[in-house]
Formats: sequence, C-alpha cells, structure tokens
Amino acid sequence: MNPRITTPIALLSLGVAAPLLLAGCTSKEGTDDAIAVTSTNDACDLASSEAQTGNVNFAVTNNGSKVTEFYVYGNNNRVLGEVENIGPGLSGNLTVDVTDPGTYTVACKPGMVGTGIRKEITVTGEKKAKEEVPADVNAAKARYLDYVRGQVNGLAAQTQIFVDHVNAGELDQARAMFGQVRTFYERIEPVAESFPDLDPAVDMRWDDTEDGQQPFTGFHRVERGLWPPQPAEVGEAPGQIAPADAANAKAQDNEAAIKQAANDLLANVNKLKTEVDKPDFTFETSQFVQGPQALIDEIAATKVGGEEDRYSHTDLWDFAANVDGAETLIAEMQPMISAKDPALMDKITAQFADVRTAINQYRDGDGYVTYTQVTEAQRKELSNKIDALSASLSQVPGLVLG
Amino acid sequence: MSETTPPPDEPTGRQRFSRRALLGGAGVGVVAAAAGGVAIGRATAAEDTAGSQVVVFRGDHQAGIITAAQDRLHFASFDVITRSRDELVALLKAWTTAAERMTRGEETAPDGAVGLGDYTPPADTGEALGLGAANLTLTIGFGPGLFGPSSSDPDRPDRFGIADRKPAALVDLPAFAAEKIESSRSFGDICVQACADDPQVAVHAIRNLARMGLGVVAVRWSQLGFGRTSATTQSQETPRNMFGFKDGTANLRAEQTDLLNRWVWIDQQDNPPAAQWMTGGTYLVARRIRMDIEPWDRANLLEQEQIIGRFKGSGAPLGQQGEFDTPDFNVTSYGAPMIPRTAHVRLAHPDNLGGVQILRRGYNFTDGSDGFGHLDAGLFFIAFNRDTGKQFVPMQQVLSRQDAMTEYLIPNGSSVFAIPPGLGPGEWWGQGLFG
Repeated sequence: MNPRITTPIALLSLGVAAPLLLAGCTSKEGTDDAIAVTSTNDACDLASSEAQTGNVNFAVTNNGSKVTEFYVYGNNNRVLGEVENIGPGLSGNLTVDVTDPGTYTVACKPGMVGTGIRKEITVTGEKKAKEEVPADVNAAKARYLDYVRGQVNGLAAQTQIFVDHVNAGELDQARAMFGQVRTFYERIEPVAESFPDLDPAVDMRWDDTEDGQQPFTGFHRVERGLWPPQPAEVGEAPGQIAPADAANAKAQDNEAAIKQAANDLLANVNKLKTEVDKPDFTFETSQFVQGPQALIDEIAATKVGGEEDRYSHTDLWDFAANVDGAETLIAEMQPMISAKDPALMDKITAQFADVRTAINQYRDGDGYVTYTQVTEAQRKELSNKIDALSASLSQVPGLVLG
Repeated sequence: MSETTPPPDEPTGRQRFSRRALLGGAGVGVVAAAAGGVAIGRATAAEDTAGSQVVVFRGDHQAGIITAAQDRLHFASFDVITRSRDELVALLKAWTTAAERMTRGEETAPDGAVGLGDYTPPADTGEALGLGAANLTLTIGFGPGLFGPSSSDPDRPDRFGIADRKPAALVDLPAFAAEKIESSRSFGDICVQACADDPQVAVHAIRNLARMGLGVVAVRWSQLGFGRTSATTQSQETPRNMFGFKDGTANLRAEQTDLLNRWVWIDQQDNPPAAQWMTGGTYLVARRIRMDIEPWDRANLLEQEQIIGRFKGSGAPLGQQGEFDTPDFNVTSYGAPMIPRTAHVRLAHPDNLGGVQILRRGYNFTDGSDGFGHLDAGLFFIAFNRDTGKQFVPMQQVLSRQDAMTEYLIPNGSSVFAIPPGLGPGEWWGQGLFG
C-alpha cells in the first residue's frame, strides 16, 4: 500500500491498448443486470465472467466472516473501481464504465489485505466512444507529452550524475545538486504519481513507511543519508524529523545502504523513462486539465510546511519546479482559457508572477536558500499566494472541457 | 427599522423561505430533510417558531449586534492581501450577495452546491444544505490596518487611499496588565462575525466567505464559540460563563433604545465629514480570554463567589436575593464589605466606572486541551461601544489592575474593528467607505 496514492488524481494510464473510463463507481440503484459476486473467506464467486462494454455493474455480497473489498483492475494493476468495507452479511454495488473490449481482472479481498482472490472477466461488444474531447485539447495534450518526455530524459541524465557522485563518495557534489536533480521530477509530479509502484519507489517520504515497517527508498532516503538528522531537528512538529525516523537513520543509513538506495533510485528512474517513452503512452484528459491545480496544491497541501525535504531543506527548489510544471500546462491551455474567460487568464498570469516573485526573493546564486531561513510569517505569505493561484486554477477544467 | 428577530405572530412569506423551496424549484438534488431542518434548529429562544428563523439582513444597523444572541459563533479576522482597491471592492460586493443569501438559508449562489457542472468546484460548499437559516447573522467590520499603519504593521502604507476616512476612534487597544497578546490571534483588516443557532450554519458562512476571498483576503485567525455569554434582549435568560456564573446580568438590552443611542450607536456629531460613513455604526472589541479553568475549579465556593461578587446559584449580588436586585456595595458583614473591593461585579458596575456602559455579546469557547491536559477554554469577549477609548479602555484598565478575577484570566487575543451601519436596499458591505 502506498499512502501517497490517495488522491483521485492518478493522472495517466500506462501504454494501454484498452483504456477505460471510470464513471460514478459508487453504489447504484437497480442493479438487475449486475454480475452477482459472492465473497467468502476463501472464495470469490462470480455469477458470470462475461460482460458487455459500457456500464458493468457488480453486486457484491459478503458471505464470509471478515470485512471484504472488491476491486476491478485495468492494465498494470491500475484500480478502475473498488467497493470497500463490506461487512459480513452485507452487500455493496459497483459500476465501472468499460469502453474497450478485453480481459479484466477482478478481486475480492476478505480481511482487506494482500492482493486478494483474483478472477478474470471477459468484456465483449463494441468499443464505446470515450467522452468527446475538443480537438485543441488533444493537440495540447500531445505537446505536453513531449514536455513530459523531455523532463523524464533530463531526470534520468541528472540522476545518473547524482548517483555517480554518491557511489564515488563525492558527497558534497551530491548534496550540491540534490535540489536541482529533483526539479525534473517535481515539474511532472502528477504524471509521475500515476505510476503506482514507481512513484513511491522514487519519491516516498518516511511517513509512507508506516514508521519503518515498509522499506524506505528513493530520493528522500538518499537525502537522509546525505543530511543525517541532527538532534535539534528531531520532533513531532510539522517539518520536523520524527524520532522513529531519526532512530532508523542512525541504525540503517550506513555508506553501503545509501549507495544501494541511490542505485535503486536510478534503476527506478530509468524504468519511468522506459514507460513514458513508449509510443502508446497516454493520459486522461480530465486529469490533464486538472494538472496545474494538482501541482500547485502539492505545495499548498503539505510542502509549504517544510515536510517534503525535511533533511536537506531544499523545499524551495521543489516549489519552483511545481510552479514550472503548472505554468507549462497552463501555457498549453492558454488559448482555450483566453477564448472563454480572458479575465481569468489575466488573473492566472498575474498570480503565477506573484508566486514566482515570492519564491524568487529566496534565490541564492543558482539555487535557493534553505527553507529553514524562511520565517513562519513569510511561509504564511507564500501560502496565501499559492492558495489564491490554486483557487483560480480550479476554474480551468470547467472552462476547457465545458 | 428593527433588526431583531420578528415576533412569532408576524411571519412573512420571505421568512418562511427555506432551502427546500429553492432546491425543489431548481429541480436539483432535493434535500428531503429540508423541512425537518427548520424544526431541528435549536429552539432555545422563546420567540423561535418554525418559519421565523430568518433575521433580516438589511436595516439601519447591521444585524448581529442587538439581535437576540444566537447560540453559536464563528468569528473570522482577515488580512487584506491585495493592493488593488478594485479587487477588494469586487469581493465586498460578492460577499454582500452571498451573505444576504446565506442569512435567508440559501446557498451562496443559485444551484451553487451541486448545479454548476462536473468540472467546476461548487460555488457553495454544501454542508448547510437543508439546515435552514438558523437565525444566521453576518456582521462585517474594518480594522485599523485597512487604513494604513496599525499595531500589527506599523510601516503599512495607506494601500487603498482611505486614510482620510479613518475615524479617530478606530485605534488598536493599549497594552493592559496581565495579558499575553499573541499576534496570530489578534488584529486584522476585516472581521466577519457569524452568529447562528446551528454551529454548522455559522461555520459554513465563514468558510464560504473565506473561499470566495482567496487571493484578496486571507484568514488571519478565527474563533468558534459555543454558548452565548450575554443576553441582548429582555426575553433572554442570563447565560453562564465557563466559571459557572451568570454573566451579563447588567448588560444593555435591545429594548433600551436611549441607552443604545448613548453608548453603542455612533452619532453624526462623533465624526468629521470624511468619516460620516460610520454614523449608525459602532466599534467592536474582540478579546480571546483564556480562563485558568483547573485552578478555578479547585477554588472553594466562597472564594469563587467573592471574586465574582454574586451567588453562583441564583446570580444575585452578594447580600441580595434575586438576580436582578441592584448590588449594594455598602452592605457589610462583620465589618467587611459583602461584595469585596476587588469583586468583578463591583469594579465592572457602571456606578464605579463613571456610568460607562458597553453592549456585551461574547461566547464561551473551548479549543480542546493543551499539552498539560488543561482545557484551552474561556470567554471570547465581544463588546460593542460608541467610543472604545472612552468606554472599553478605561473599564478594562480598572479591571485588569484590580479585578480579583484577573488572577484566573489570560487574555491572549485582542482586536478592534469599526462596524459600519446597516445596508439600505441595493447597498453593499463597505459602500460607505469605498463607494
């Protein structure tokens, strides 16, 4: 389980031959045509393993003694729909809109743990048209995909150099480029986050390890090795390093472990590059138009408190990169926004400039000052500007798709 | 024009307005419980009946001052973060429309909660659907910082070109003895006081105004209150504060028109021409007063009653029988005054303050517990007066220096706002100041 993938903004579907559109995956009345699913402690029985494209309904009954869940998966284990928390003797309904014929995996999860009891269903029938996407939106998406690929290529190249420094014991050089190497990832974070396995491997926080029960990997594990937690930084306040985190660092962050983490990071970044470079790589339109706000809310939700780069305090690099990524997305959509609401476009442009100016006041040479030098009052001011920008960006999807 | 809740025998069609009618008329997501919501509203005030839970928004004075005190409060103080007068004015106009709608029990915008399409954030957050108006009042005020330099920002310029309109009486409070004022709980450029008989209705109102204001204003601090600590009309019983005592027995009441004109409402002669926009308005003093609850609870009853100067049970002044009996500060027992020289009642009584009075409208608050397991609770003091420097300040100087109760009080938030008069038809919040 990866606690970071809790937002519904899983942006991309992976190089899929059978993209699916998920609609109203909550319970629905009148499921006469539903496939009856019976979940017990050791079985997942389906009344039928065949369905037609369009809305596919499931009526799940829990005849076991444990609380159960029911999932429908697309390619790469991507969850297309799920119904959770069905108590013993209770039932739940799920509707998934399947646009393409093909074979799909479903699973019952008695006890709500593990990969579940898996079954396959075959969906036949006409390929259903996806929702109409305006041609200019599709063109913008295509251009944006080039940007994503460019950033991932840059990420792979810079990560290679970063990891080489770690392996060569050139830790000052590694520290010096940590903020910069992350820029490429942070610019496309909503895209990268849509890879449910790779994103945590690359960018998980200590908080995602359930206090060390899961392996701690990726950029932040290497960061912790490069900036070992100091006693004054340990505590429970936002942006501080949890005591368990510091203890884990002391016990496990030796030279060999950090080199290993760095090499694993590089391997996962290269996997990401391979996936994104595939010719049939694509992503959902609705999530494309929500991308700018998603990036800015990344800052607003947690980062402004200093939790992202809590060991190195290079947070301002990440903020700037999130803004870069959001601005790029808006640039692609600018003609569509301007055509429908020029005043909003002007406002967004001004607010981006405002946020940019606020971040730039902390520039230091080619980079930024450490976030610990930004006072509470200054953080609040930054947060005010970010909230304002996010509120404007929240109007974009309705305009572009409306 | 009266701004108090209309008496129950005069319900008008508008006062019967409920969210149900609006939603049903629009044909979207009818909330089945809407009619029930009216009945669910806490019918504590004697005059409450279904259909009379709308307090009129417009009038000579703003609602929420002498309106019968509702049960719940959400008070918010905003910093203005834009430098654009146009943006601020546009927000105040939008706020006025949304506020008036919400006080009628409507969404901030027609169909705002669910009717605006899948890809647009709802223009109403929805948690008050079906709850009725619950006597919601929204009262706006402007802080000293809006006009230029203030305690919280001594170097602030006159961002909106209104320095000449600042009334002379609008100044931050001086420092009082034994207070620990926290800047993050104090000051602000604009305040909105939301009072309602349902906490969710009050929170909904502030939340939506804050949401609409992103980029123009930012919440500086806010405070929830859960039990009114004052009676503002003669029909209301005197409530109790967190010390367990009746509080506000001698408060000004809505019916005392002459006293309100003398002590609360700003008169034309109070200000020069540039500040006439305040005529009919008043000044609001907000103080977050944390009470040292646990030590208080260990004080014996006699000590508690001597600190307050009243009997805890009846609320009668020491030496008297009934709550509304006049305190007699000359009564002695065994040679000592029955009401001690340091008793709150004695020091706060108009007779001992040169006759000065204020209108109190505070709420009890509890913000959970602190790191020691002690209640973070007390009184969110709100008072209205015509000239804070001549009424609240001298009163508080006496109390903070002499009142035995201050040993159990830690004031940690302090703010002053100018409350403009009420709105006529078509007018918007701040029109007198910015229009």
